[in-house]
Amino acid sequence: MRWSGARRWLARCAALLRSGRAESELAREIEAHLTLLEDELRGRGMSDDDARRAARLALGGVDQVKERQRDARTFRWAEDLRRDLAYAWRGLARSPGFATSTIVTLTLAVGVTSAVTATADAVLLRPLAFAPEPDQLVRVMVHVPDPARPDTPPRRREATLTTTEVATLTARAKSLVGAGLVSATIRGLPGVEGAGRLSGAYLSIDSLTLLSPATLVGRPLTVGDDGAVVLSTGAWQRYFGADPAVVGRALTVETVLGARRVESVTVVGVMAPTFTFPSEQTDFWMLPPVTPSSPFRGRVLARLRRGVTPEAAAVDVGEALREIQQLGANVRVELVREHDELVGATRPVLLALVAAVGVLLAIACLNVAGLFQARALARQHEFATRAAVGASRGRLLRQSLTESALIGALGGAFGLALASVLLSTVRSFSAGIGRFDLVIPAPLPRLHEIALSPLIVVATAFGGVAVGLLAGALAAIRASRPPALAGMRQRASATPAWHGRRLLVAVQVAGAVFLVVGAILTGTTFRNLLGVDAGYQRGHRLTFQVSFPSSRFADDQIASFAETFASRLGALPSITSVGFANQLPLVQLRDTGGGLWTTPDVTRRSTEESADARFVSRDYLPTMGIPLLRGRGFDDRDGAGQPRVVLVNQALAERQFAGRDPLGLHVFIGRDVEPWTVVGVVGNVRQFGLHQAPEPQFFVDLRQWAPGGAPRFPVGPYFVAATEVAPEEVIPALRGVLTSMAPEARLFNLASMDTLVTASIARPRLLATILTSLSTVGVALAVVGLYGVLSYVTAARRREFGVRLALGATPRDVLGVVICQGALVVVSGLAAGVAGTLMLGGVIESALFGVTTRDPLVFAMAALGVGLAASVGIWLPARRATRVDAVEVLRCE
Amino acid sequence: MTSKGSEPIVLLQGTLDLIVLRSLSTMGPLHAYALAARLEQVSDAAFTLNQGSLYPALVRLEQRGWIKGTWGTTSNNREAKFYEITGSGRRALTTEAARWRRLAGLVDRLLADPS
Repeated sequence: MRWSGARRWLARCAALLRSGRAESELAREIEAHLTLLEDELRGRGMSDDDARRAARLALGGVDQVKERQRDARTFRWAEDLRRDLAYAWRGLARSPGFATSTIVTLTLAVGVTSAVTATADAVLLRPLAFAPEPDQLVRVMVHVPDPARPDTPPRRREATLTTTEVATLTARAKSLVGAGLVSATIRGLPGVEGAGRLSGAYLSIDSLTLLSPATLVGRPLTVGDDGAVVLSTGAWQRYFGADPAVVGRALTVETVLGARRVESVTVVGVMAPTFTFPSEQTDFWMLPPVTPSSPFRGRVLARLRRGVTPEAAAVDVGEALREIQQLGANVRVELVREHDELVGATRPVLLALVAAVGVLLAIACLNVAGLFQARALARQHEFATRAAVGASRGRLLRQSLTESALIGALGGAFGLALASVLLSTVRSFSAGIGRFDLVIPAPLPRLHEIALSPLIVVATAFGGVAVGLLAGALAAIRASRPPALAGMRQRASATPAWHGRRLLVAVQVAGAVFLVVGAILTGTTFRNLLGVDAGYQRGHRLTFQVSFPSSRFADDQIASFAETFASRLGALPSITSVGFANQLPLVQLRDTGGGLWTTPDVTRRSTEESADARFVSRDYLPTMGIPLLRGRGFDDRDGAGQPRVVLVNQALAERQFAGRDPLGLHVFIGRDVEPWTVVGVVGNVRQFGLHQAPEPQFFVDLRQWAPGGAPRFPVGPYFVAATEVAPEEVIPALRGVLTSMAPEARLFNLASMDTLVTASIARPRLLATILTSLSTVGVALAVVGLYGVLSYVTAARRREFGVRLALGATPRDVLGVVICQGALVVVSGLAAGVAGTLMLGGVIESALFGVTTRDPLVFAMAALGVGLAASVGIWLPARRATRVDAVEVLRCE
Repeated sequence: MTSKGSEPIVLLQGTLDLIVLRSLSTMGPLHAYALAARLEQVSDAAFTLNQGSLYPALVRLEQRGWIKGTWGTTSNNREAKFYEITGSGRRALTTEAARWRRLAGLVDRLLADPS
């Protein structure tokens, strides 16, 4: 019995889906039944006509029988719903303008909202996937004040410790479960076909214990695993064809910080795809080298004890660290969650976007509500007629709601489709330049994790239908009121429900102001960044590095090779000049060279506030287009063994030699007691990003630089060529020269300076692009809303205007009335928008450059822009009001 | 109760299904018209039944898997859909008939109760 019940239920569900066959079968069966009956009746002597009539009577009416069989066969409500939907569909098809505007509005709102929410959810909310309890993982940062510039905020950097120091830290700091070292400083696997140079990271065994990562193939690194390497899932798939036999394979890696070493390693395993530490770009991991002469240093990864906050632990860790590293009392120690550090600057950006789409969603909902109201009013007549011929109010309401739900569902579905398109755009946009050696972050972190989660899909689907239903219900309840009553009320007050609508439109205008301010701020930021003087030329500059085949190239050999290579390239017809340096602008590596001092001292160490040291070739500065302000640049007088000279930039000249002319002064670099002579002052360079103020720098010619054991080129020399043609065009010629000099050497990290600079401002560009599109949509929606409401109000006052015109008012007067009415709403909306934005704008402050969230000009521009757009929405209905024909209106009266 | 001239009986919900099952089980495969004719004949026109009322009952029984309909031809060469009781239909008939008897007996007892 129970089973047969379930079976019937299933059969009824199935019947919903394929009603066509069942219907024709039923018709056939009833037809056969009637034929048999008629045969019988004719047999009893009835005429054909009588028999047919009597047969139908005995059966009980063909349509009634079918209807009752249908009720038993399927579910009545579902069958009704299907009919309602079909009816609603026809209704929408009859008014395409209404259908299109509501569905497009909902699609835009739902699509943009779910895309941004999905991104924010993936980046900000979802816990990191690479370790259990990731919220307990922290980095140790130190804030070091600059005594020379007490007014500037302290410089924030990561604390770097040696293996012994971090062991002491773990022992002393009771708030930590443990701490290990991380250093993303390995490059290589040069033997791997097509891999170029991969990025690797050293993880101390303690770090690995804290992270407890899972492996996909093979085993993780364990104690004493010298010369063992573990690959990332990505690298394994890209370069090894996901071959499980990779375990045991021998590869080569290059160590590029500290002493440059090339060593042979063996693959022992492949990490699980979720393991993306310290970065999504990390391709392989090794244990830190054990080198007694120069102990391994790395940044700290620590795990807090459960229940301990980073703020609380900072006290404990700070004390230990001060002791271990003899930090000054004014150095502040801060613990930052890995997640917060990873998300960092993206957080305010995403929060701003969430706020912006929230506003857009609100505008869209209000608009849809307004559209439904207008439609309901337009259909009052239709509904009244149908009510008069017997349709119940409930029936009419139900039909309206079906229509609203259909619109909501369609808007939701299209919105989801839009969202997935937007997300794939964001993902491609966010890919960034993908270079690990640069200070350029990907526009968004946790890129691979960005996706529409099931929760968002479900919420969106329900949200769309809910908005449609709500807007439809409100309007339908109004419209299904007895029309006579509404008509009478309309006489009594010329503008029904104008107050509610006025608020609706004002809120939309306010929202539009918020979005436009956001767009102007981010747009200005992006333009400011574009316009900023980097201090070097970015056009017609090609940058590249050379990967040398093996350890055959020692430091000195690389330097001399680079010099020959540069001079031979400089002789190429399409190349003006070629320079090289240990790092280019936008390259991460910092170096102080031991500091630049005005007095000799063999005991001191360079400090945090030491100037940035640049080791460059003779032609580097002119090749990069860095201007010489005073004195002279490097030339042939500055070779090895000749009088040692140094160039300083303007920032350093101002800071270190306050008031004095630096030219001709003797300075000392590091602990070296032999003096260097300042021979020139060059322009400032924004070394670490366009948004960062230029730092004090000094320049030493590589020919005169003997670093005393440390490598000249910590990450290999960076070359730059000033080209006469498009930078990419010289690549073949360049490759030709390289091959002729060293057949096994390869070019890599090829990019024009323009590309690098453009990539460095991809994040502000993404933000500006998104906010500009959002604000465009928002303003358009608000204008449409204003237009709709004013049109409606004007139409409702037709009679009044007619009377006014008949009594002697000019069309101008009528125009004035409507414009005043609209303008009042717009102005109050603008005021509310400005006030609201002033309150909420702070969230975006840190993502701005050269403009503030309190810039009156920005607000004035936004208000003016929205006001102008709004005036279109006012003008059109106002014009229509003046065209009212007084005579016709009075005749209607 | 079944005498002529009294009010026609309105069938209780579900009883028609039982009657149809029973008819099919005794008479073998029948089409809807034959079923209706058979019911009229047996009941001596005591209960009102539009012949069309059979259709919801037939579809309910078929969906439960208790009867099975197949197209065939009648003795006078007309096409018709013949319904046949299935194995599970026979089992259901036994249990449903017992249930009905219990219910009827209960109602009888209650009606006969002098208090």
